[in-house]
Amino acid sequence: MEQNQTHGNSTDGMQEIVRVDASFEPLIPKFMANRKKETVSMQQALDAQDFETVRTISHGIKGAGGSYGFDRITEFGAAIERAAKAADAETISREIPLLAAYLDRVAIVYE
Amino acid sequence: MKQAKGTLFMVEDEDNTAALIKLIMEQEGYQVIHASDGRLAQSQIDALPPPALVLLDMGLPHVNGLTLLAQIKNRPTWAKVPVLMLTANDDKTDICKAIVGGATEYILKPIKKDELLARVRRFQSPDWKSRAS
Repeated sequence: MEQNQTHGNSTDGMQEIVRVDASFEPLIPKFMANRKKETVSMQQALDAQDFETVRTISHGIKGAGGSYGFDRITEFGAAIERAAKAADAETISREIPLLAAYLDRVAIVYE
Repeated sequence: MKQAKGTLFMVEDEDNTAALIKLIMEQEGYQVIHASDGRLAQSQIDALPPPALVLLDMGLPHVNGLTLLAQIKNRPTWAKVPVLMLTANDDKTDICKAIVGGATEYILKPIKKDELLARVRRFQSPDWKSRAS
């Protein structure tokens, strides 16, 4: 389950290709929908300064992302979880849109 | 689908992770029973016959994985069931507590399919079964 990133900068909007185990395909739509919902939930929690909710959600993202082959999602989850533990609103507010943008541009190849 | 290998009891609160493990383990031949939080798991451990294998998340709502591990090890019919702890933290303290508490293995999340299957297949080997009996 390699990830082919077509660029080295996650902020420039270029498409990223992730190769995912074909047997996981039926689960991917719900996986992606949940991650998108979680970006909204984390932003709402951040707006309320509810760092514990941000931490809980990002902890789940960290564990789930790479399990499906999306190592980049795990990296976002880990970064947000670390920031939530430190009540670092600035980092969280920077990472959530980056995660949302990644979810919008990632292309999945089943193999 | 492979040959039936018995029941696997999985305690995992993250929906997508649970769905993925269920898919992988059903393809491997297990019938998967899933508890989505610690409280549900407690009642199922009390009520169910011993499974072939337990996959137990460390961080759970209501009752944590270490408490459930102790419950499993204190229940005579479940005590010898292999328990694989799942954790997204590489906190060595918790991992040590799990091993001391009787966990057979631990797997760090994110879970990789090949690693999960390799570890689970150890418990199907005649060598493991003879040591565990």
